[in-house]
Order: sequence, then C-alpha cells, then structure tokens
Amino acid sequence: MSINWNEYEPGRFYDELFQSKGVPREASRDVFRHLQNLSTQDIYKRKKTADAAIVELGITFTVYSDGTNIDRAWPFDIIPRVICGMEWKRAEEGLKQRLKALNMFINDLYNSQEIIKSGIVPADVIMTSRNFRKECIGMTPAHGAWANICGSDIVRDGDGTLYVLEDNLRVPSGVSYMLENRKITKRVFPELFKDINIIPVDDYPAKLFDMLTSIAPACDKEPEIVVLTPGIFNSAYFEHAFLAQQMGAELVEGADLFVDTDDKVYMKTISGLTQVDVIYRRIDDDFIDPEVFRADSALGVPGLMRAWKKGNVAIANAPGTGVADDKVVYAYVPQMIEFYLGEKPLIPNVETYLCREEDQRLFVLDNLEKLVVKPANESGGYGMLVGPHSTEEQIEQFRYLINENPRNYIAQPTLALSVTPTLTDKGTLAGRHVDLRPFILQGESSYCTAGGLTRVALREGSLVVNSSQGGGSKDTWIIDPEEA
Amino acid sequence: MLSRVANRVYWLARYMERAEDMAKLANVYANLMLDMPKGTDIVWYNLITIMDAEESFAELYDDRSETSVMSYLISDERNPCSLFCSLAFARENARTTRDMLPSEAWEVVNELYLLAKKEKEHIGTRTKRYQFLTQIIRGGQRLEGMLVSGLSRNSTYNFLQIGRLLERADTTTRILDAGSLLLRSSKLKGTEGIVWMNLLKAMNAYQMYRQAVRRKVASADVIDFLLKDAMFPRAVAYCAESIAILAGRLPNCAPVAEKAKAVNCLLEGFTAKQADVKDIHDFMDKTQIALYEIDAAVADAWFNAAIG
Repeated sequence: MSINWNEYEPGRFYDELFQSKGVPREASRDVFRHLQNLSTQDIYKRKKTADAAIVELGITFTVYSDGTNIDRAWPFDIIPRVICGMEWKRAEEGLKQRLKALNMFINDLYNSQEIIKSGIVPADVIMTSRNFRKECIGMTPAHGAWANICGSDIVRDGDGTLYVLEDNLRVPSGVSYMLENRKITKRVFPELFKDINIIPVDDYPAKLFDMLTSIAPACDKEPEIVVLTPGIFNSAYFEHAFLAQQMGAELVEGADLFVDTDDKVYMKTISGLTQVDVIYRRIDDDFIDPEVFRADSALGVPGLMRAWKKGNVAIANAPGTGVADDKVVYAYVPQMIEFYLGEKPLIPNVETYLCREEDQRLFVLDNLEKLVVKPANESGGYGMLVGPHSTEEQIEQFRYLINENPRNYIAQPTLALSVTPTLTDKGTLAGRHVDLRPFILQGESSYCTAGGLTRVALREGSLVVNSSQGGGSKDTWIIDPEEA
Repeated sequence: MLSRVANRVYWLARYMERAEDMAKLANVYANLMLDMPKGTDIVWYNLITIMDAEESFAELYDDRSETSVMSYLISDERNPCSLFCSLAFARENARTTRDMLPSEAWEVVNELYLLAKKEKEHIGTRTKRYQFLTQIIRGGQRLEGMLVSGLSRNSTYNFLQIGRLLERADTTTRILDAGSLLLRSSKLKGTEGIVWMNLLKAMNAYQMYRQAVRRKVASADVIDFLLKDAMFPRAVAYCAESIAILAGRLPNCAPVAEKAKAVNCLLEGFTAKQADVKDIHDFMDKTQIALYEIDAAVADAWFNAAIG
C-alpha cells in the first residue's frame, strides 16, 4: 500500500482539505505541501509515534461492561483537520452570540418569561419540558450565566456552510481529548508547528479556571473550586480527572461533600472540613441533590440546592440549565438571538421541523424516509431515526411514536456531512465524515476554543462519530492563510 | 487532601502488604516441612489459628489439610482476607487513586491482580504454588521500590507508609505467634533453631538478626528482636515509632501519635525470657489490639472529618 496525496479523491462530498483532486484549500496549502513530501513509510512511522504517545500519555476512554471497566486506547487519526482562520473567527463570534442568547433565554424562563409573553416561544413547550426545574424559579446566577460551559456540535453540509446541529448545555464532554489530540500531533508533526501558524488550544484549562473563579460567591480569599464526578465508572472519568488536575482543583465525589446547617458546602479533607465556593459538576440535574431531585441518587450531595439558592456556592452549569438543551427549544434559537440581542444569527441552525406543529408534522410523516427524526431530550444519538438508512418497519415505528407524542420529536433533513482525508486501517488515504465540537465558556466574559474536538467516523460511508461505535478523532487546526 | 483519597491509599498499602506477607508465610511454611525430621507433622492449621480465622474456616472447609488451608488463605474469594481478595481490594483502591501515584504503580498492582486471577486455581501443587507466590512477593517489592523512589514525601506518601507499617507490624506479631505455637508440639523438640530460622527468612530478617544477635538462634532472642528492635524495619517497635514520626507530618496528629507511642510502651514492659507459649500468645493478642487502636485513631483523625 502506498499513500499518494495527488491520487486522493475528494468524492462527492465537501472536502475539508481539498478544493478538488490535487488542489488544496487555501488554508491547507502548507499542510498539504508538507504531507505530500512525506513517503508512505514516513506516514506509517508518524502513525506509530502517535500510538506510542497515546499509551504513554495514558489517554483512554472507558467502556463499561459486565461490571468491569475496560480502558481502551483513544482512537486517533494523525491527519489534522484544517479550518480557515477567517471562517473560524466568524463561527467563534456566532457561538458566543448563541450562548449569550441561550443564557438570557434560560434566565428569562426562570424569571419574567418575556419571550413567552411575546408569543415567540409557546408556553407549553417549556412547561412540558422535563428539564424545566420549578425549584430554580426566581434565581439569577452570577452574570446571568446559567450555562457556563457549552459544547455545540457543528457540521458542514454539502454546500460548505457551517451549521449548529445541537447545543449541549448539560454536562458536555470531550474537551480533554481536544487538548490531548494537540499534544499528540505536536509529537507527530513537530516541524509543522514550527513552520505554520496554528492557533494554540492549550489555554482552555486556564480559561475554565478563570471562568469558574468569576462566578464564585463574593469572599475575601481565593475561591475553593472542585470538580464533582460521578466516579470511576463514568465513561468521562478520564476527563474529570484531567481537568481537575490541569486546574489544580480537587476532584471530588458526592460523598466527599457535605452541606451543613449553615447551608454552606464543605468537603471532607484530612485537615477537617473546608468550605467549597464553586462546583464544576459533571453530574446531571437529576442526581445532584437527593433532597430535591431523585431521592435514590447516591452520587449527589443532600442540601446542595439549598446552598445554591442561598448563594453560598456557585454550580456550573447551574441547575435547571438543561431546559435549553432540548431539540424543540433549539429550533427557536435564531429567534432568541433576534429577540434578546437584536442581532442576526451568525451561524445558522439546521432546518428543523417541529412535530408539535400540525403542518410540520404532516410534512414529516409524509417524508420519513428522507429525514432524520430525533427525540427532544435525548443526547448521545439515542432513539434516532435516520430515514434513508432505515427499514420500513423502523419508519412505521417512528410514525407511531410521533403521533403518540408529537411534542417529543423533531425532524431534520439528512445532511451530506463533509469529509476529510483520513488514514484507513488498510493503510490508504480516504475521505471520512467529520463533525466538530467547540467548547464555549461564559462567566464574566465569553470564550470559545480555537477549533474544538473533530470527531471522525472511521468506517467507510459511516456518519456515526461516537468513539464507542467506531468513531475516532483528529486534531483541529485553525490556520490563517495570510499568516501561513 | 481529600479524606476519601487518603483512606484509599492507606488501604492500598495495607492490602498490598497483606498479600505479600501471606505469600511469604505460605512459602516459608512449605519450606519448613522439608526441613523437619521425618515423622513430625507440621500443622498447617496453625496458620488459621494465628489469623484468628477458625470460625470462618470451619464454615467453608471440612478438613484441616494443607490443600484446604492454602486454598482458604490464598485463593478463596469467600475469605475476604485471602491473598486473592487482598489483591482485588488493593487494585480497586489503586484504580481510584491512580492520579496520586507514580504511573507504573497502578500497572504493577493491576498485573499482580491479573496474575493471581489466572493462577489461583493452580496452587494445588507445591512447585506451582511456590512460583506463583514468589512472583507476588517480587511484585510487592517492585511496588514498594517504585513508591519509595518515585513518590514525593507528601500526604499520599505518609498515608501509604502508615498503612504499610501498621499491616507489617501486625503480620510480625502473627508470625511470632506461629513460631511459638509450632514449638509447643513436643515432637519438634530440638528443631527450635530451624523453625525460627525459617520464620526469620519469611520476614527477610535472617541476616539482620544474625548481625544484631550473635548467639545461636533461640526463641526468646528472636521474639525480643522482632518485637523490640529499634532498627529493623519489620520489628514492631520500629514500625510503631515510624508511624508516630509519619503522623507528625500530618494535621491533627496527636491522637495517632499517642496510640503509636502506647505500642512502644507496651513492648518495653515485655521480655520473652521465661514467657511460656500462652504468655506469648496473650501478649501478641494485646499487641494486635494496640495496633488496631492506631488504625481506629487514623480513621478518626483523617478519614471521618467531623460533621455538624
């Protein structure tokens, strides 16, 4: 097998690296020039370097089965995904704009509900959302920011436009892999980092720390910040430990924390009780406080909501944030941006049909074989119908589900996701579908990662980018062609 | 340092030490068999007695054969004190504290657990058992070396050491108990030297004993040495004193240091000369209780932060 960049076929999809066969996009020019000069053996050697780095850095993801955890090496592709700096600048602004509007929306919902009164978002959409928490009514967290950490999924359609596919506002994960991917590529292609101006991503933990500091309740000492994890059996435990370590924060489990009669949160240490000011929680609302939400939760901290409502502790993301992490709410984000900010959205939504609206539902039911149908409240790709890849039977099942509970379903056209050159397990180069998850922070100010985590469907033709289902990831390079 | 994390590294060290000590004891016992005059019968069941495990053993086994005793102490998953269970617990504790330890530490613990899981059904023959137990001992030594040379002298280190020393002191008292019990059998008259030599070897103590005590190997000397020597790292006195020093580097250490000093006081008031088997057994019980009180003080001071 040999690798010849000039023989690579971009195919019928939008290719991230190539304009057409043998012709790189402007931002990828220098990357292409360099990669082209590497022999096939060189590329394989670099691949080996990456594999060794993954083992050495201990980058794993966890698959839980049969009562035991299996740590698997992180599936990684060495060929970077390149995005033009100017294009990214606009996307970054668009993402911050979006998060700002979403935060104003959540704050509005738990307070005066102007957007409902104005008839833009129907009241029943909110009242029937199981993530609307009445316990949060009347609250306004620091800087009006409920979702302090947001991981949005961005995809590129056949025409080259970037769309936001969904906003993950509950406990988005993946940022540690973005950071580790960069560490790996620095070992694999050190010379490229010397010659090309690739925007660094390593400042994320520092920015996260600054954001968490900015939401701490007023006090005269440095705030005590902790990362709250459900524990070692959680598939994102590696990330929880990684972020805590990078920020110099304690990694705690529910049982390490304790709310005293003074409604303050303490952690149990070998020196006694230490007050905690900010909790970066990686546990869903349902589990954070057995006094208020699920009483059977052993992961949470009894009394946490009390402490939060008294303003004695900041929780990121704030309880109740999940109300905006709903695919029906997603459909209204462009209108929210206009309503709260008086601006036009900088990144468009994917066209979305709401099954709760009769005319849209009829259209969806007539076109199930062409559409992607998603439940409103699931994450991680569960309970979806991909029309073009489904059997008659599956389509009929969704027809039934939609009619049973129209509020709970939305539909979108099947996108022609962009591809980018990837090393296959046969040792050849081929286009594979990718998406992108940037991470956006909002506290006192806003921040967006330079690029994000590019996930790639390693199987030919596959659109599934999840690591548990044959997905992998790539480093994402934001390159300014003028500076390159 | 979080109490939970401190608790886990403390128990990681205790369980690893327990597994290693059990391996050494089992190997030495088998070796002792070979050195005994024909017709004398080494009682394997003594090992159950010194572990205070008579009841639990009786529930699981009908006979007191070597096979049953070894299976109970080494591979039986129903016995929470078996070598296999110790390794399984050590592994759980290591996995949840990986970030605190040199990265190879987790790998060693995990390897040993996987080895035990694979080999534990093959301990019926003495040769195989010997090889397996030797691998466990080597692994334990590798881990200790790694921690001593690779871990900063921080709280993690202090908790690991305290756990290890406490477990080690406890094992020493049990091995002394074993020796004195063995010699009670009149058939073994005249084998005193051989029995103690082997038990000293089980604790890697033979050379050090020889250097410190320049007489023929005799019960009272060995017992005094392993209880009261201030320089030998497996002697109970040394362990207790080291615990007091390590505790001094941690917050709120007074109660723990006090309990550690109480052990030293207890030891000073005892001499093995003139003590009969029963006296020795009673004193070992007393020492074990005093050591247990250190453990309780450790939990009180550092693991159960006062609430409310």
